[in-house]
Amino acid sequence: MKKKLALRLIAAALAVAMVGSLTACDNSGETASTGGGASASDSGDSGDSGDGGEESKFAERVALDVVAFVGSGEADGLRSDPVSKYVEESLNIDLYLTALTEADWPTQLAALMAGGDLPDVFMLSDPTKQLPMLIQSNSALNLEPYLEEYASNTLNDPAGALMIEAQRLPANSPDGNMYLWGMCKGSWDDGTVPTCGHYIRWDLYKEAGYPKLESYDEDLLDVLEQLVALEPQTADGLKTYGCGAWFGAGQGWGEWVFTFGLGPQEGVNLIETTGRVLGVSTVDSTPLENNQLTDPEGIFWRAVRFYNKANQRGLLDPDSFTMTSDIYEENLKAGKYMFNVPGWMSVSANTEFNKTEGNLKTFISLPSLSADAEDRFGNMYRGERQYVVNAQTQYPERCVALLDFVSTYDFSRIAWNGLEGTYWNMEDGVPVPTDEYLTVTKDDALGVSTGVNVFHHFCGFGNGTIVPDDGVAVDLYQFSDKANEAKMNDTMKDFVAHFGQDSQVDVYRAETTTTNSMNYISFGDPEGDIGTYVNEINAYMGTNVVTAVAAASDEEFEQIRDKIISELQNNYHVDEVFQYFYDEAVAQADDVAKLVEMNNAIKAG
Amino acid sequence: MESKKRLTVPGAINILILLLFTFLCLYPMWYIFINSWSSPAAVNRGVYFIPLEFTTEAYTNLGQIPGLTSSIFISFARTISGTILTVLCSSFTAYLLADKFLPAKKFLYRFFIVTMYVNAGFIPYYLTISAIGLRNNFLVYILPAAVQAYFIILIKTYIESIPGEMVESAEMDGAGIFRIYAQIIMPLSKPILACIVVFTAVNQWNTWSDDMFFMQGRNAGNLHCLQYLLYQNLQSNVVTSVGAGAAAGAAMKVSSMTLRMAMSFVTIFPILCVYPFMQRYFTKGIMLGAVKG
Amino acid sequence: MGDNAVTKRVSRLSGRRQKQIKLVLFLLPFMAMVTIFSYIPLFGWSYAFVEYSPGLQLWECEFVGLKYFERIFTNSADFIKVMRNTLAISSLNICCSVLPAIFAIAISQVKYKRFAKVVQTCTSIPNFISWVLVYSIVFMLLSSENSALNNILMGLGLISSPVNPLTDVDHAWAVQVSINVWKTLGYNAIIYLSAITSIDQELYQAADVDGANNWQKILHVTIPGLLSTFFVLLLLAISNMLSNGFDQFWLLGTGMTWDKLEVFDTYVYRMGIRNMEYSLATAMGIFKSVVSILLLSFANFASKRLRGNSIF
Repeated sequence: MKKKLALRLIAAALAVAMVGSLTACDNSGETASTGGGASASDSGDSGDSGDGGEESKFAERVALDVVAFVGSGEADGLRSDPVSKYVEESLNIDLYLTALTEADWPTQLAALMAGGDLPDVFMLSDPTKQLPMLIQSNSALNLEPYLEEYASNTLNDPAGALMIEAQRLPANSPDGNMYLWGMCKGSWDDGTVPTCGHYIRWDLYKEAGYPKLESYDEDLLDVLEQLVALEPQTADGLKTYGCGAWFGAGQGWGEWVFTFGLGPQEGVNLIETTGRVLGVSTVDSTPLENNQLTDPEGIFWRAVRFYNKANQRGLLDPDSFTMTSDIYEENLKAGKYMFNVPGWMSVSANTEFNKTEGNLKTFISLPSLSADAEDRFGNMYRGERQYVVNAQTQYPERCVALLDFVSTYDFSRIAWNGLEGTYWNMEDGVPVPTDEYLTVTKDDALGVSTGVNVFHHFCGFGNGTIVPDDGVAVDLYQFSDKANEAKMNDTMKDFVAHFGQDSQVDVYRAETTTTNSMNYISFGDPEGDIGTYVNEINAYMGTNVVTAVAAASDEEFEQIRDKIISELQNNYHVDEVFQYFYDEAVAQADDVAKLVEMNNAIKAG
Repeated sequence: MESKKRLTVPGAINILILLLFTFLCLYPMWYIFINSWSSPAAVNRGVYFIPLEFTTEAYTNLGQIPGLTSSIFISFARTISGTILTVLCSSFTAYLLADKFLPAKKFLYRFFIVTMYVNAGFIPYYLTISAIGLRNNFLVYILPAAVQAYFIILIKTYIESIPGEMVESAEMDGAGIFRIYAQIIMPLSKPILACIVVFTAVNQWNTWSDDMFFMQGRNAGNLHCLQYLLYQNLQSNVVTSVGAGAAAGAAMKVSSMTLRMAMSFVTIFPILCVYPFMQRYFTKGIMLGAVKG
Repeated sequence: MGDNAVTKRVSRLSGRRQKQIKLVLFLLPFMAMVTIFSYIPLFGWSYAFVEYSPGLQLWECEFVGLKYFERIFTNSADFIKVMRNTLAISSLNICCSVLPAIFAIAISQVKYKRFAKVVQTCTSIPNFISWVLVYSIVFMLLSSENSALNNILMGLGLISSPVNPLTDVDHAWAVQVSINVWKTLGYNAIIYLSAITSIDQELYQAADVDGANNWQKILHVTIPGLLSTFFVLLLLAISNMLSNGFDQFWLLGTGMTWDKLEVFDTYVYRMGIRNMEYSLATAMGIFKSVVSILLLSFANFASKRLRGNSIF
């Protein structure tokens, strides 16, 4: 008996050891194959530094660890898709990509920082908080010494130069040197499907006879009521509503519709890093005079009141209080709502509607309802995704060269559409998508076979950016002439005709005076206790603002709203926070003027 | 005296209540199952009895997750080896702590128990694991979990209910610590050990947070476990054509409910297959006339 | 003869000594493991006393003493509410902790063994369903306007407008505790089932001889047999009153119910970890550890007074 037991134990121990060693062997195998490259001398650019292509500069093949916002069709590590191979061949590197998950990356990053195990290039999900930490511990590389030699593409591109200049400002750098590299400059759309817009079912609006729609606070709900009356049930028999939201989705994300539901449509950005107390006008990049969280008539509370009124009138889906955003999107695609704010969901819903033959149902973005300005034509001058190079990396030049290489217009087009010849071709100097391309579904599987959208957030420009050389937007799938024609159903034609214009973009430019986004104010890590106050304000709002939406009457709503406001003023230092950020914003006037000048140069040239 | 198989009224009520609760527990599983075979649109409308708009979309999607096969192997490996290691280490420790001759017994017992309540957060833990070289190493899955206070408590309590005469008679026969452990304590503790096997195995099968923190970058190779891959896939599975604007903040990538349900089913199913095998250890009485034997 | 007796006593003594040394030696490797994985990381508690930033060495961080501990309590209205919620929900769960024992007895009473096994397997299933899925299930089956529950109740005419357990503030605690019981009842009963099987069958036979009926057997044999297990688990539950589990409340809490459902674990995440304020999060962790150990000591002491023996 004892022998048997002993034997069993030994067997178990052997099993553990075997598995352990098997997998360890796997690892050492992999590292050995790239270890050879790593152990060579690290001045790979000792060769000719002439103006030849990247190929001649980098004679030695090295391996780079990159953590980025990339497509996840393949496991972390070397990728097999054509675009990844193109990058590797052009730069003579082995590119080990890890796709990060935004929710977990902050904790992983903290652990890696503490342990000194950071990758070569990585993304910052929250630069305001994370960059100071990296600089404090000397983990972020100062990019200045490498720019001239290895970042020539970006330096010579006006948009790139603007990005570099912005990264040197006090808000983004402690000492005037560039640490952050911004990807996805330009804009996410061509102006027709803004990320935050007022989208309504234009087909029903037309059927209702184009009722008066000149105000968000007054008219919109009346119009939605009429639309619901025209289509009280979806095709599956579900009850329809004017609008919905996803308040059930954890603290913060559920308030998205308050933060972005009205501001961009009236030319104001509520700056999230200030706890939303500060609003900045996108017309001239100046801060608003009022504290947006305590101003009952400010855009924040007007948005909350809109949803409360909708709830009172039975136009808000009661499930909004418990839904998460994926359920909301499914409902939208099923036709449950007449009004929608997030642009990407409108696109998704329209795609779903178009699966039916002869479909007329379309969500179309309305021009600004009552304001003279809107934040429609985006301008992510600093880049929407911030990347950092590890100060301890063995190959700083190769890292900067990589960042520079993917930041070009050419590569951006490849990132969003695949290599030339697969889904698009140049015809008379203009890129044209193939017919097949417009019918594919862009998902992870497509990324594996063609490389499409793998690098979409690790490239220089967002998909709506117009490429100066050929005047066509980066993403041919959504914004080329062919794609626009396909989108032009009768509802869309009616929309354009209703405003007396020739194209959708013209409508927006004609209806509102200012449609170009111009917000150059940004904030770094706040001093002293201000950062703590912002966290506490956000926490308080997250747990309390939704109760205002559930108020049963206008009096009750005002009661709750006033209580929240006075609570913020008395116990959460909200006025102190506002004053701090307002003063900071005013102090940036000169820097802002410089950036405006550079931006004008881009538009001119 | 044979127990009669006649059904009494309390017995019938008992069975009825159990039946009701069983249904409450079983129906959600069925719900998950049928929803994983239905289209997202149908799920939104409500699928309650049988799959509607039958589609294998969710499962084929799962099958295409990169690195799936090796992760399944790793998950099985960690479950089996981790369970064996934990059961052996925790039970042996519990046995030592239950021995009445152990000096400073109270102190040593509390030494283990306090570990359940002290936790300095993940950064120091990460640094410790890194310092002893367990990063990107399979052992990080099973070594930290080998000695667990909760299991020690359960097993020790159980061992203390074993009649002392059995141990003493073995000692009289000249058995040492190890032999008593192997030949007397372990066989008699089968019910509680079966419990621990179930708890540990389920834990090992379901844990992914250690994977996330300690398997980083290219040196992690094939060491990712199934749960982690599923979790990652949950975060990232979205049609990427809509050019998601970053102004929306975190948590924008969400997957459809059908996918989540398919994942859940794939995770739960193996547990349910193995589970009944452990059942017989804690549903049958074994202490029959043990003292006399 | 006298010598023999002395020699025997001496050798027995040194035999005991030998055994004691052996026991401690055997125990050492396990103590070492526990030290490495649980006690050594405690150096991280020092983060609570400095302005910690990941990547900086400890001596490079500015010392701030008890600043972060004070911060836990400064926003007292919030903190009191969180503690109230945490303790209320834990207390309710502790009250329900007798249910798995009752359930185990119920299963063991069933005469059809195969049925009992099926029941036991099926009722363990909810424990394996992740909280993310539980949210989906609760939403689709109970909470949504279009949910099964609402369709049935409205169809039968029992209610005129849909109910929504997830936004019901007044019954929030009851709802969450019920969901937790549903999820853990079958699985937690396993421990009690194994305890029942370890009860000496002879005791039952003796009771039969004494003419005891079923209820009396349960009362006088089964329940006493479960008592020691029950008390151990009870003490553990009391010491864990500050831990309610993060996932359940983060996922099932909604804007309407945060007031009642914000518990300590979500509070730590929201205020500390999510904002990368690790000093604050560590201070909260220390607070939780200290309180838990105090609770355990108190419960242990009470148990010693009431039952005569201390469990820990």
